[in-house]
Amino acid sequence: MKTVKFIHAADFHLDAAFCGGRAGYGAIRRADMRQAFQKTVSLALAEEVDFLFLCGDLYEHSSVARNTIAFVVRELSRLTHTQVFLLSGNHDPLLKDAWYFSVPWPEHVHLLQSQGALPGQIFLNEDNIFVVGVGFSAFTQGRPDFSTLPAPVPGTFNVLLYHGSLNAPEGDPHNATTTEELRSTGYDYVAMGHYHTPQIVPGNPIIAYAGSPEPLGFDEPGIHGVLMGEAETGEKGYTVNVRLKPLATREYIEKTLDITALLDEDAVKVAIAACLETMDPNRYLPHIRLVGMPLEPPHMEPLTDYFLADWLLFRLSDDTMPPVGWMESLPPDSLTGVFLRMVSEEMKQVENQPALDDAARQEAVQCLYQARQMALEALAYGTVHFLPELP
Amino acid sequence: MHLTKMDIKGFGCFQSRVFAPGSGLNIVYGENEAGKSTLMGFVRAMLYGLRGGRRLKDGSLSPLKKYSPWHSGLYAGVLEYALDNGEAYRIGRNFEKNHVHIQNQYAEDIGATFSIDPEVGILFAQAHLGVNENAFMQTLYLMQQHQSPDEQGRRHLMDRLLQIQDAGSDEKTFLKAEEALRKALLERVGSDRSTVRPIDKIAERMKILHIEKGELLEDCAATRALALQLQQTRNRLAESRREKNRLFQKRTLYGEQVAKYTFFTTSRKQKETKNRLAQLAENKAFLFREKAVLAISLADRKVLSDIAPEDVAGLPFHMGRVRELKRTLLTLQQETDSHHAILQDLKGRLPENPLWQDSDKTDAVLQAFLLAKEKGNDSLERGHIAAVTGNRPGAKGRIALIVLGLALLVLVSAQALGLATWIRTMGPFTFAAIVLNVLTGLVAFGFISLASFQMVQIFLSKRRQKSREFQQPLLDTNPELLKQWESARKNMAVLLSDLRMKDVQAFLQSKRAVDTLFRQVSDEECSIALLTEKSKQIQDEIQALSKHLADLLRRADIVPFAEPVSNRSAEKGLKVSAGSGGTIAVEVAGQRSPQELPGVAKVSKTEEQSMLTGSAAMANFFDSSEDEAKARLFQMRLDEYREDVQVDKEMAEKLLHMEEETTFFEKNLQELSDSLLQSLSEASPWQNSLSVAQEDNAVLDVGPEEMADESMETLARQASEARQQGLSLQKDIEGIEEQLSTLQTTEATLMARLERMPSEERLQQIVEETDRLATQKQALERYGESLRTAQKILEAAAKEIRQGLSPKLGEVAGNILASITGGRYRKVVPGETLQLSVEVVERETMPLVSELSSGTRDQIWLSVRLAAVQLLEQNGEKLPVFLDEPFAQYDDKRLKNTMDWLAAFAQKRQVFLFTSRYHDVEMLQTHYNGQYTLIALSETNKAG
Repeated sequence: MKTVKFIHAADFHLDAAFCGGRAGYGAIRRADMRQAFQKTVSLALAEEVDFLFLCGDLYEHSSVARNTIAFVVRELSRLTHTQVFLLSGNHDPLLKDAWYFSVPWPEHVHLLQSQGALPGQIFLNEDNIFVVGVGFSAFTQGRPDFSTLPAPVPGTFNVLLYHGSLNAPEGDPHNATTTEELRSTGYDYVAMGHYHTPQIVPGNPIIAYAGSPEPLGFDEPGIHGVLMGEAETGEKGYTVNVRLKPLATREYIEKTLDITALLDEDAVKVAIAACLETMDPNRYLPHIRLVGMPLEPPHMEPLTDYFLADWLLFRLSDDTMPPVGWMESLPPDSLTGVFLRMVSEEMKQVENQPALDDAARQEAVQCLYQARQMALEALAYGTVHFLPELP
Repeated sequence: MHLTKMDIKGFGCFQSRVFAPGSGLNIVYGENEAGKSTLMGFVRAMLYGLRGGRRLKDGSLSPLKKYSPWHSGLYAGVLEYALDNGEAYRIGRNFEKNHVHIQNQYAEDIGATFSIDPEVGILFAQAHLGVNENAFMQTLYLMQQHQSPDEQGRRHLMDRLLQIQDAGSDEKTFLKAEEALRKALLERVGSDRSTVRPIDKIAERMKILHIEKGELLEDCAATRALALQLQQTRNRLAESRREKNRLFQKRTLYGEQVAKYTFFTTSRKQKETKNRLAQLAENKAFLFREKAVLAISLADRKVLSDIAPEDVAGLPFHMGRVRELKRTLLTLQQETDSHHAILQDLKGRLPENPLWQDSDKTDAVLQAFLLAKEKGNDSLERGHIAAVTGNRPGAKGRIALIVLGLALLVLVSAQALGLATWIRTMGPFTFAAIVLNVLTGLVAFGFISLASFQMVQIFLSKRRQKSREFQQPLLDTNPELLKQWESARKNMAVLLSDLRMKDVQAFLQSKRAVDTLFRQVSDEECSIALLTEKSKQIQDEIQALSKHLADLLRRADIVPFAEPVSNRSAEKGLKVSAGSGGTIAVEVAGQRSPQELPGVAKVSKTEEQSMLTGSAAMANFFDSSEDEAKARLFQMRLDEYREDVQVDKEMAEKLLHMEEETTFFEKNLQELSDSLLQSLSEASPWQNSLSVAQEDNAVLDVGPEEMADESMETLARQASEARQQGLSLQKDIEGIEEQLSTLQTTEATLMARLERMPSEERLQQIVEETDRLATQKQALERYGESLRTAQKILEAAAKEIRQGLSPKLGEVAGNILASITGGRYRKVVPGETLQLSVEVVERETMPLVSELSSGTRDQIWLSVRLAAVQLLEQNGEKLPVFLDEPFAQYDDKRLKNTMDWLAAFAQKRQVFLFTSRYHDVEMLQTHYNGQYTLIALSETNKAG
């Protein structure tokens, strides 16, 4: 019985652009990304893993800096006892001028490059491993042809590196595939990249997304890292076990705060501060969603600026609604009454419009809420306090 | 609400004027420029304030300046009014200082209880009248020539009409809300026509960023292309370097083969050169030793160097001369000896008396005697002189005898020797012996003949001498002579006595005999002296010649007299020995074996013997053969010396040549050594390959010195081939090096270009900013969309209300208009923006107001305004209405109808009718019959 150890990582997105946050947010986050890569290599060294699978989107093709590529090469050069397999993703496709071709990779680093219709494949006899990679040679690619996928090599640890969407809707332009297709390949392990949230699809073989080692946005909450795996030979081939090894420096987190009946802006500040109290500013990147019916609409811009001073990234969104009582107190034939009635009718119309998807519906409803908010302010005060929620 | 007092402190043309209007109809009369409009302006200014600042858009003065007092003084006033509920208020304004004081009926300043507009100030009028300044101007304030409101006026009027529908805050107006939304949309978002609003700025910034991003993307693409090109160049460089290394290795292999050959050949050459050098060193050492010996020898014989050639040439002559001289000297000595013997004999025969010895005295005595005697007899003198000066025979005879003896001796010896030789040998030398005997016989005959001739001469000489001795002197008888004679005789006698002579004759005889003896002695002595002198001269000459010769010979290391050469040589550490074949060997002290001196002439044993035995040489010194031998020996030594000098020179030249040769070979050896060192420095790969090659090539199994020529030839052939291939490779290497150089240049250029490429970080920043701006733009668009939605819905709401409000307004306005026009126009239909249409009795369609006559338009708008006032008053105060010359275009009938309607209208509210025509005043006074208050603006035509 022989056991091999490996690390499965993907979607580092080195030198990606980051929006929002205080000054230097992008640079800090890019440094975080680098650090995540460095941590991955250090982990491989510490754990003495046999293989490191990097399943695409290692860097951003258009914006990656030369020194970042040099950093990657330098870091990978530290791994003298680990075979490294590189797969290109839709953000770092193997274009003619891809950085993958422009740097001298160490001997133990293997770039999986497709040859015509054949996917990239590498067989290392000494290490008894056969790795096939389905990556990107353009920014978008349709469904790959699985008939060209080579058959697994018996008695060898067969690994399929795959960058693309799994069980995605029809028309997905990113190497869309299905669980069944991947299972039918007969490989011992399918190492996926593209989805930034780690997920392990149990079964045989295990299909796993390592996720992005460092989350890239508020839509990637939770723990992020790399997958540590072990493959053990048995009578029926290799048995693979993987587990998530957290590596991320930061974590995006979203909290909802009800500010109904809060008297003024200071009260809202206090409420937000209390909500953030338990979070470490060096780790968390919070998003506070204000809901409820405050006596007066929150002034988003000053509030955001106030908290952004203490946080690398702070997002505040207003999902509050005007007080219902005020609306009900107005005569129905007055201008305000007629206006509110009309808004309500519009909302109902939007909500009942079947052609709209959820997002569009939500967008339209939000727009009507804001319109109502601003018109009421205009009627009441002759001015509009509600400000656009600008990042 | 109605105005109770207008106290004008200073306002336009008014100064310190107080008006107290009535609560109903007020007729304000004033001629042109009397201040009607100013009074209306005063009321408006007191209620809503005056706007200052620059000129208005139409170029007119700002209200604050327009109404500044004509006369100096306060720019202020007081307005008092009472609300319908009875509350009274006093407004005091100082326009100059922009102060306003609002006091209630209890004189309390209640200004703080009202809202404040930053531009307008305290909004007490809105609170009390329920209309803002605009509504006031469009409804209550009907100025001359402005009865038909403009669009803005209509909008404000409609807004006020809409406002009356809301029971909430008075501040809530559609127009205000619409303006706020529009303003928010314009200022916070922007419109299609805006250029500096947020969304425009974002769009502009995004446009710039987009351009910059495009450029940066191009730069990044160029950077990637450069990087790719650089990597490809590096790959090619690596490939070229590998190729170069391969070529180098190949060339090294070829070079090693060449180097091997070179090494072997060089080793060989080195070995040969070493051997040659060793040989040269040996030869040099030998030559040095020889030269040293020769140098010593030459040093010994250095004197020979000074010998002049004429000395050498004259040597045999001088030696012959010496021999001749010595022979002559010997003869002279023999003669001298014979003379000495004769002299001794003669001396033995000389008398013992000393007087005889004193020949001068005896001669003088005798001379004097004979002189005296001779005075007559010269014969005596002559005889005497002859006796004194006669020859002395004898020497020649002795010589002849000696010669004769010698001849006999030679004859006998030669004959004996020749005979003995002939007898002893009887061989091949017999003829020689006979010749020798004959020759010696002839020589002996010569000598005998010479001796006989000498003897005859001697005999004849003696006969002549004897006849001169016996001559007699003659005597004279002269006294003087006699005296002389006597003296001479006495002296003679004494002398005779002393001599014990008997007479003079005897004396003369004795004397003659003695003189003869003495003469003979003298002759002998003279002969001896002559011989001695001659001998001395000969000896001197011999000595000089001998000395010269001896000097020469000594220089040649030839002992002129018995001085063995070996002894002298031995003193100098040389041992000269005879070698085989007549050579002379010289053994130098300290050397093992004697070295034969090359170039030394062979010397015969006889000559050798002659040289070595000084005694024999002495004995044979006068022997010509010995002289010849010595001369030959001298010549030989000289030649030998010269040859030695020549040899020395040649040896020096040879040594020099050898030295040069040594230097050359040493240099050659050094070069070879350097070459070998070079080979050794390059030997690391070569030695490695040598060991490999040795396994493949038996040629290399042996050392270079032991290598057979065939193997060397094989090696040479291989080396030649390798050299050719190396040369061929060199071209390839040069080509690849050129390629490498080009690639390195390309690499450097690419690296430099890559270094100069802009940083990708800027692109990241741009992407981030673009994303942020896009998000902002999206948010703004969403915000704008919300604002537009709000506007749209609010507009729809207002429209709905307006649609409900218009019939009311039309109904009220139609009633008023019907009253004014006498029922001709009964229905007014206001549009959404107060676009008025009227129903005309005789027409089917409803024409727009603008299509009617100006008088009718004024009447319709007056109806609408007053209807609006009535609607505005629905939930509030009854508002005062100000009408400035409203009836200018009215006909009498409609004027009367209007005044009738106004009379009823003024029952419930305050109405100010401004007119400048007194006819109108009279007509109004007549019509209202005292139900009015007249306010005369001009002091002169003030009416009651």
